[in-house]
Amino acid sequence: MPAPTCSACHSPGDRLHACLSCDDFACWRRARPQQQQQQQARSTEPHIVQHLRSSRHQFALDFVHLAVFCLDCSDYVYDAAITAWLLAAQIRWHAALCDSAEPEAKRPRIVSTGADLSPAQTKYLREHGAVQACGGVRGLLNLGATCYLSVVLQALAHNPLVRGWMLSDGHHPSTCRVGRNAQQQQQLKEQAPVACMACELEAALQAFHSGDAAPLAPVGLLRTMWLLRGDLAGYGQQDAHEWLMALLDTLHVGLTENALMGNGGDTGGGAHAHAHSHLHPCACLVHQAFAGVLQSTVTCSGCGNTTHAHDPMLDISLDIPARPALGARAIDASLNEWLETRTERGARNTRRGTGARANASLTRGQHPVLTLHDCLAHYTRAEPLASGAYACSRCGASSGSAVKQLCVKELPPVLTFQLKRFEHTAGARPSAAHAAKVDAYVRLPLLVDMTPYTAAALAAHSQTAAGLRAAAGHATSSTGSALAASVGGIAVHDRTGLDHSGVSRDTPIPVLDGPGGSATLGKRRTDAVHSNPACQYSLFAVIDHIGHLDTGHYTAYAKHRGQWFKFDDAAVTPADIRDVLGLADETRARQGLSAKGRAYMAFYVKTTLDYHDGAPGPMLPNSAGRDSVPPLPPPMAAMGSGNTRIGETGEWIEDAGVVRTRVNPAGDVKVERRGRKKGSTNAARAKQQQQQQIQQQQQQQKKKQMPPPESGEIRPATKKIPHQARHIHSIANDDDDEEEGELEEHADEEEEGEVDYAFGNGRNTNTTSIPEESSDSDGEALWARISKEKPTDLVPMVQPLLPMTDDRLMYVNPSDLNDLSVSSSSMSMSMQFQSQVMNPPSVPKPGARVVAFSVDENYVDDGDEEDEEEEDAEEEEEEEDDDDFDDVSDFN
Amino acid sequence: MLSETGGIREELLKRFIESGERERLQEIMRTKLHTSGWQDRVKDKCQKIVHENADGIEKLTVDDIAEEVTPFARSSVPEDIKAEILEDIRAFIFRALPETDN
Repeated sequence: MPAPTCSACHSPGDRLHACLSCDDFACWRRARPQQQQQQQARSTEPHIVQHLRSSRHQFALDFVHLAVFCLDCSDYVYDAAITAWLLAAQIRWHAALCDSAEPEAKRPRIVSTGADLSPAQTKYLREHGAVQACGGVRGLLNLGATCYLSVVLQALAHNPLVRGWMLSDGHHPSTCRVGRNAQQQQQLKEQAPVACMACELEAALQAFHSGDAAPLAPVGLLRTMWLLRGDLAGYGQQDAHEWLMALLDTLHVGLTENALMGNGGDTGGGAHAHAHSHLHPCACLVHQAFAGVLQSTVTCSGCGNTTHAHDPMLDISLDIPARPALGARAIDASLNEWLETRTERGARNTRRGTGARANASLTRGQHPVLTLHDCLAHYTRAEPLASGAYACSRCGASSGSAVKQLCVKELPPVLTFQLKRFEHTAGARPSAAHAAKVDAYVRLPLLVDMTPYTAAALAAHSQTAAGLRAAAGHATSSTGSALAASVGGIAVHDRTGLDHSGVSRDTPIPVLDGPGGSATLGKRRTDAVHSNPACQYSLFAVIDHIGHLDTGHYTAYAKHRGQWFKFDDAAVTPADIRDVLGLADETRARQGLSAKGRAYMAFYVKTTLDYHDGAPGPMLPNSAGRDSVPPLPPPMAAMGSGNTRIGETGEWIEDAGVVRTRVNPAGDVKVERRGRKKGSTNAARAKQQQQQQIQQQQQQQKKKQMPPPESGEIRPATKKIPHQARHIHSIANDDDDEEEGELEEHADEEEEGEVDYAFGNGRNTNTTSIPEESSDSDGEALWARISKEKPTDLVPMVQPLLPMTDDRLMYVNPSDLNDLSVSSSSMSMSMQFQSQVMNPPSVPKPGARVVAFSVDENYVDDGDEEDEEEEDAEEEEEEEDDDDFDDVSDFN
Repeated sequence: MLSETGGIREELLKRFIESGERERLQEIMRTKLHTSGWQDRVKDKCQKIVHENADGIEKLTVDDIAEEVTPFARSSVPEDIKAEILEDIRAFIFRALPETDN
């Protein structure tokens, strides 16, 4: 594929920009000052700027960073609409990458929806809501060595998923069946006083965001924890990690008990309520956010039989290795020399003094510093099991050695690391055994890419490694180093049946992840893998421990709206990345001076969020001659909305976010989305009238196959209407806050966009139907609750554009249809997609998921949004509703 | 002689890019730089530049920041990463040279 080149200098290189008014490409290289030696350097401009000036075009787009350059400002500018569109393109690209990296991953890549508030709602909120002062950052009083509690609470409060879910009414004390209010209502005959951790956490978060800046005393949390977990009671110092796990556990119990009671057991989900295994993931916040799956692979060296064992996990506890695994490498001597001379020359040429030069390179000091990656590499290293410990089932050689390797099979949205800083050393007598703290400095990256440590990467790498070695034999690399032939980190079975006992150290089987690794082909595990965007995480909280093991002190750093803060009990101060990561300590460590590493736990959140919405895969119709796949068990509900029930016609209905999935007894899946009303402008309305006619004809045909499309009545089942309406309201806003919180996290990183999505069912019959209009009812639910009316009906919004398969992306932007200026571009884009995928594969796979994106470019990052505490922290994100205000009368 | 080497250089560059090697190495390098903490340091330095800039943030362009941070960024790249990447490039050239023999 020919590389695009700059039209001025023909180099296919640096920072290519595309002119947005013509089809010119130009790079950022400055023109060679031929005759302009006398003039100032400023007269030479980058080629792209030259082009823009000479052709009087205004804008150019940087390829790599997707930033728009404005000629007049001589700088990059940011516009909400174009940024949102670019983000959407990037999300689609990322999704494609994720799919190609893990084609067998069954998780749906559905991103949450935009806020769907009806204009009436918006108006109500504007009139009756009050914008609160910025909250979210509060100190916590130390109630007597409770610094562990403070840090854990801060880490949870700044966890975008937890915060978002909690603030959007995920768990409301008035409806909690476990907490104190419930007890008053229902007179539960409990032996112990009832305490619900979720209520406490919710209260704490509300207090955080209430706008009050005084430190908060987390008395309720402490009391509840003592009640629920007697083993942690007491005024002594506790371990923060243990406390976090206990908190998550009690939270899980509290949430699932509510879900159990809430559903009334009619979905039969009771069996799954308390248990969480990787086969039946629990639907509560804790597990949806924190739970991942670890995979342990044991490979028998004799026959290569590999067995996998899966374990669910809430966090990863990492040992701190003695020395970095990825440390000093054998480098070609001549190259090293050449490099030395070059850097010395370069260093001499800089205008800095020798003092500065000493600090310039990060490897001066020559003491390698441990990083999180080293710990992870150590964690996922291939370790040989003691001989005799493993009996292979296939070849039965129990004396043979085996190799065990850990990796992560499923990554949770929030990844928590604990660095095991305590080591128990046995003394001469058993009573002398004591724990000492491991003080080694470990540097945490701000962004971590977990791709090399996932099971998929491991599998891919072992294959390539085997292939490479087969090709190269055991030839050493061009570096000539002794360890160069080792391929990092993978236990690969050697089918040539070599005798392993006499094998020399540098033979790659079993391979320990060590230094070396030929750099020529990048065979080290961390090199060879293309990073999967789904595995990128960014740091949002760190818990530090200072001092000795039992008498130390905890402090936390967390990121709030892009700004890091240090939380030292009641004292909250802004902090820099330098403090968070302890870079000063790192410099000392590099120089070999003693440096106390303080980081104890680190919390990372996925930068591209994808999570289950719980919709089971669309199933194949029987008429197509394929066996229909039985529906998946119901309880895979979305975060915070365990709302599954059986409707009146025996249909299984499940609400997740603004999506409702119905599975009728025949096994057909219909997915509806509550959406904003489209067609409020005349042109769009006319278009939609035509479409509606076409639609109706199609529906006539479908009537025979599908149950008549319900007008989307909410079937209350056994619940009271206010609760139902409330629940819908909470669902509606559930996702708002998730992505709201998420967007705050990442607005500056520009990794995520707010997206709507549209669904279809899995039927192949629908190929070219066009979205029909729907009336907004999502907002109506809230509106109804506010005005104490019965919520109106849901209407299926969108007929699928295309048959759904898991490797198709569909682009629909319903909100675009309101806005004429953008509608043409979006429709054309969707048409493009349609045309691209007009020839779908004939066999959608069972369990196929639907992925669709659209971008709500009307999202405006308004800083006050999160603080609207009215109506139970409902968030309002639409500023574009100004357009729709004129059409309020159109709503019933 | 000069034109010859010039021609080879261009040819090599073209091959470098079109075979995807440049992208791959860029990705590797990015990862390495990131895991070594270089990226965080440069970010920190950029923040410092923005804070210390006397003209105020309105007048500051990306180019200005880039100009100021480039010497620091260049000099603080860890040497082992430099060495590895250069080795990779050298290996690529070894592989590619026989094909570009004219």
